[in-house]
Amino acid sequence: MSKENRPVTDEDLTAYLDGAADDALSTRIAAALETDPELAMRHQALTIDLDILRSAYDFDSLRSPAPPENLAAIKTSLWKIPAALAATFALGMVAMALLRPAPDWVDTVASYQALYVTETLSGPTQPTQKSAAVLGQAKEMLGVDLGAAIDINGLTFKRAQILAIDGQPLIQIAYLDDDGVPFAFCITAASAGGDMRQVMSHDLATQSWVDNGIGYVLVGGTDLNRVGILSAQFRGLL
Amino acid sequence: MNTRGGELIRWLRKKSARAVVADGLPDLYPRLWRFCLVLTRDRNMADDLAQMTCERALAKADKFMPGTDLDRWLFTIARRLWLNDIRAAKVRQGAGLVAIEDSDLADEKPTAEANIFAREVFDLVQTLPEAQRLTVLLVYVEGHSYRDAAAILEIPVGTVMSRLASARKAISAAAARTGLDG
Repeated sequence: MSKENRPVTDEDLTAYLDGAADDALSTRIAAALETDPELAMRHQALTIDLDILRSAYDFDSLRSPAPPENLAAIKTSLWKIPAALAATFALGMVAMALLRPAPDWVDTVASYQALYVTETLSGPTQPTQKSAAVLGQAKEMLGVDLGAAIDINGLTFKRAQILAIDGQPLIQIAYLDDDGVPFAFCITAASAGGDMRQVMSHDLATQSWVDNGIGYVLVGGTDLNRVGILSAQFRGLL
Repeated sequence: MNTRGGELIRWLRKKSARAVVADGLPDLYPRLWRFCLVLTRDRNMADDLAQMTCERALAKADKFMPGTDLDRWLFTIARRLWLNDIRAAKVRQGAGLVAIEDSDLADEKPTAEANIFAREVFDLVQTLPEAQRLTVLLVYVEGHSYRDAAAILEIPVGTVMSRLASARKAISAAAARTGLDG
């Protein structure tokens, strides 16, 4: 079938509507639309108002955030990463010999937390009303009142959000310590375990435990002793 | 060229690339964040992903080729970060969970009819499959050509066209159902 005779596809019509069809195709479609009601219907079914679409995504409509003031600081801190990674690696090598592997869900949480740096959380603290809404929803989902987790000695609360892990809700409460080290306290449904368990995972110190079918993990920094002390505080408050 | 001269040029090129990336990030940040919002469908996750993308871009700045488009490079990093690091880690906004942030998008918005329509169209597009809504963003909102969108998404041009056709059909049908087509 020659190019001129082949049927007009939806992709052809889309290119025509987008002004991206070549001259020959544009001419052919324009002519066919005059005489082919079926093609005209398909053309209509592909027609959308691009002005409204664009206004739906303009920055005002989205209330998009301003660029973080610390982008320059990120730049500075990044040049320090190789040294920090080297230090973390050395510490990890010593610790790993003594440690058990992290449970899967703790490992997954740590892999996510490993992407956090100070600047990830250095924006404004989540409004109280929003935090309360998230924690209220968390209570409905998991039956655990996490209100006390907002006020932890040694950690500054930044925000709470609902994520998911293997299709199950996972509540993440994020903090910075006084040195700007990101920490996260995460809660999800978990079946196994019970004992406090300390491991390094993704070069981060983690402490996890399971109570009544709910798994808890505190992750952040590289100091297992520190997450142990902080975890005791969490466990006492909750 | 002697080895030392070659090293000097490579060093200057890296330094220049880092400067271009660092200087360009603040201006591009809103567009990067919007790209991340379309990917993640959640404002908090978009914040995280945009920040992570900036960090990754600065860390890998010497891979950036000055003279090419920084926005395309950032979008590619964000998308790979999302696909390979975040989504693959199985921690993401859960299917079926109410995204609290989603409902917040409409807060304190003017109630002009055009804004209501825009909001409804936004909601509609955000329900499309990830591949389609990303392509819609790149071509119809960002104004990239089919070829550029294909390069950013690492897919053939024909796939861009078929995604746009599918998205157009879905948006048009939903608009007709809800009276958005006027």
